[in-house]
Amino acid sequence: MRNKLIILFAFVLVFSVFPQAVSADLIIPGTKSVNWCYEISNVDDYPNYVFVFNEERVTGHRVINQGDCFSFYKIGLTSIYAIPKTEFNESELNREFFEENNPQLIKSNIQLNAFGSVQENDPLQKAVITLDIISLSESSFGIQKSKVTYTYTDGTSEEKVFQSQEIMPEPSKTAIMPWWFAKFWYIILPIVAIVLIGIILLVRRLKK
Amino acid sequence: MIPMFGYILSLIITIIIEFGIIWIFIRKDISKLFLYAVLINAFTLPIATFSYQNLINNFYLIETLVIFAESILIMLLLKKKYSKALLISFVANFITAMISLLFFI
Repeated sequence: MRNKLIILFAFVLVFSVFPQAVSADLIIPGTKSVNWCYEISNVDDYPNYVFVFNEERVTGHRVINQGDCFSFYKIGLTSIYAIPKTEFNESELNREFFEENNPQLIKSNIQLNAFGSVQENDPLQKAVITLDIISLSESSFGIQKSKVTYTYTDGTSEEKVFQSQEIMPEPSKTAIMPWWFAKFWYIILPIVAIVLIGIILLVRRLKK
Repeated sequence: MIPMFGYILSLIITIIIEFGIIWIFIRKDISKLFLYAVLINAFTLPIATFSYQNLINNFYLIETLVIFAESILIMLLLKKKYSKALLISFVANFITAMISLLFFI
């Protein structure tokens, strides 16, 4: 019991001294995560199929309906599958179902990646990546990334079209300055200045 | 120019100009006046730039708010009547605002 308490105390001590260690897997200091997701624009054009994404590590699988915006574990590799509606049974969906040799699955041509993070002071708030189904048959399933919609902290948004499937279009608005300088400029500098002004006024009053 | 050097340069220019204006009005204790000019502008300029970029995209409104904020600090630090502090703040910020409009915006 005593040993457990010591270990617990050590954990609390380490994580309170180095709080960034707690979120090391989640976010790198100086960066922030962006709210991101993928959507498929034309699910309804293929009424004879059910579309499912599968991320093996954490998120698992989920059915994609028209209008759904889905995301997954940030370091997971995600694939999209089409399943003929006649062969689809949601209760069958499990880890084994998504094995390579399953004849019911038609695997899409692309693997999806997480969006990643941006600088802490970056105005980017949300990214919605739109996918289009370009071909679907019993043996092949073609998807392409068509556009990304960026939403910024000031409420504005913009659409950027993919010129290449491998390269994510850059958002127009990015952080003007490095995050550490933004922290210094917008927070530390004015606080230090007003504190020093306060000290000067206080010392002057105490001297009276 | 790398943006952060632009910010630092604008702060330095503002401090020098506002110090000069305060010096024209109050010709004593040059080192204290300079310190006060540094502290006042180190407080107001970052908040003003943040407000302009993220909150109120209105240069004139932000300059007006800065004039009032600095007038209070000038009154307290330089121990002047509010009317004189407001006049100093108005002249100093009017000149720096004109320079900003001409060269930076």
